[in-house]
Amino acid sequence: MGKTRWQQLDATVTAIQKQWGMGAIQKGWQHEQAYSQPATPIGVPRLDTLLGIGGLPEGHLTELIGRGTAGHLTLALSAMHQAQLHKRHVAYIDLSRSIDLDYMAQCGVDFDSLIVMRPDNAEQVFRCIRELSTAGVGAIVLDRANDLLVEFAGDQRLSRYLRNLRSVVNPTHCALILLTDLVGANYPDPVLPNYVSVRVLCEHQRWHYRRQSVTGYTSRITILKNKFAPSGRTLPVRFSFERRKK
Amino acid sequence: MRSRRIACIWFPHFRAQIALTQGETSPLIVHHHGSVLDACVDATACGIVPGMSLSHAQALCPQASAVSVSHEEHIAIWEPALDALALHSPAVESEEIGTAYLDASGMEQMYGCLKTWSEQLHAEAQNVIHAPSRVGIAGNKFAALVAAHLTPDDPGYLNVTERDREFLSPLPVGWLPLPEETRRQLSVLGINTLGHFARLSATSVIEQFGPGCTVWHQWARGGDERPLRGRERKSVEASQEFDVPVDQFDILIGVGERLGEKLLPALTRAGLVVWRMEVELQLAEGATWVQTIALREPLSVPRLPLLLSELLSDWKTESAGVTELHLRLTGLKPAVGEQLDLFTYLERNVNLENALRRLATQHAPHTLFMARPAKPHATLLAERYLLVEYTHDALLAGR
Repeated sequence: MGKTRWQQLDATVTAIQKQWGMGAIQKGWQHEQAYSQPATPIGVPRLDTLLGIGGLPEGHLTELIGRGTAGHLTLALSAMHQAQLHKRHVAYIDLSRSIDLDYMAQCGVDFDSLIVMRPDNAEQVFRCIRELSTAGVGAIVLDRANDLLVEFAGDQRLSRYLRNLRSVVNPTHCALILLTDLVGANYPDPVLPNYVSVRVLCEHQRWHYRRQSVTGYTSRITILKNKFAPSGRTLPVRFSFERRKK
Repeated sequence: MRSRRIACIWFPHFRAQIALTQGETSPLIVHHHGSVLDACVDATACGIVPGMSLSHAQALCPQASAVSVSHEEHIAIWEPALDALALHSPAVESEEIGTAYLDASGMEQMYGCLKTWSEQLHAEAQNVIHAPSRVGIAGNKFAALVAAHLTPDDPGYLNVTERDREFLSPLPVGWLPLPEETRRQLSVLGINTLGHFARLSATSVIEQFGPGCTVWHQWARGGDERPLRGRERKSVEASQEFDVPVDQFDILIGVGERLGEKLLPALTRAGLVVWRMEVELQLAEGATWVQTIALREPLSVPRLPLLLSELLSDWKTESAGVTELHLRLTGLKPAVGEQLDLFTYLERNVNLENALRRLATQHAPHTLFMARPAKPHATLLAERYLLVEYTHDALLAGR
């Protein structure tokens, strides 16, 4: 009773935010506050905007999902490059032992501030991430995170590890990017999505040709989960091989 | 290349103008204990000069009314004017009431041109003391003062573009505050302009007029080396009156934020930072509510809403409402420049090197690698770069 119009508006905004998330509706003066989450840009401006915070969240886990040539690795390498532009070191955890240094160089990754790790087991992976994130590394890319998950198939330890990992990364300014390769029809493990803050699905759509040679490809990027802005948004992104060449 | 630029803002007949704006009529003589302090333009035309006795002045201009004003009253009017001018310059110095010197170095870049800057000074001064002013800009205080006095009413601004000595050269030697005896000696010797006086050698000046005159000689040569000593500012404030008493927290924060946004850019331009903020609320029931907060880091615009909400959190909203809000920024200190991120970056590097050493020790060999170019122009992509085992030397070699 006796509520002013401002109070009614406040109540409505709060109710919408509870139901649909903080990014669904914002008051004008809260706009700056809502975007205050530090983020590492991916380097695709429209995708950065779509993510609501200007890039991949620092201090959180992000999962980039896709099959080969879907562009998820390219997005991760581009984010590493952007982190290096801000004078941050970056790390690449190469679980599959198949790192393509030439492609990395083409994507603009500077090797002087790159650390490559090839841990033998999951324990080592978690220890490496803990050490590097607390030491001030700007972005850590964990390639083929699904290989790691296979190791824990049906094991309760995975939840505990991921929870610990999240709590380790949270107070730091490190964007932890997990790359998940879709091999079969199903998603490898249902546990991981509970612990990541942003999930992005990359789907290859078509190749681009010029005179019978491939010049790039287009992928459809879908934001499956986002704690900082509404999810479900889709954006076609064109990747060009020519542009990346130095 | 001119490294230092000093502006002099001069309010002609400052004391008389103040008295006129307060309702006195012209011609007017302003005196203190029988000694003339100032006179309006009409009274000056009758030959009245400051320092004259009041009886003598009244004999020269019998129709003039005399007003006695204390020095403290003029200070109370002059200080806010200096505060207003300080919003447009990092250093403001006032040697006497009605004349102020400002640091004009770099203002051209900040305001587009010095004319725009001087217009801003005129506007600020006009807002506070409602009296016309003139601005002279030169390389030293004396030349700037002379330029301000020579400036015509329109445009009220003179920027000395030539060298100060050349500018001063054709002017009468009477511009220098010389003793009467020295002035007479110069007249006898036929030295009538500052240029003539400047051409004398320093030895001759000391021999003829005594060592005390070397300072004036330097001034005539455009070598007034007196530094500009900026006055220390205490606070700035802005206020907002409400037609209807306001009892809503959000509105007060919004208004406070707007007032802060109005004050802060000018302080930033003046090279000052704020370490204390005060909010004063005039309540509808007649009481005053004041709250102050000391800041851990200098105040910035994005932090305003949070700090204002902290300040106002103790205010009881059940009062009848607020009729006026004053925002006062105090604890003004000169801003100190920082080398942003440089040391943080170094510290982060040390932390990282330690972490890498630990990881290399725990998990070696074949766990920690660094990428290095091998044959950048090799045909086979795989041969262009290679991974080398991490060592501290390898990290250093990569830099």
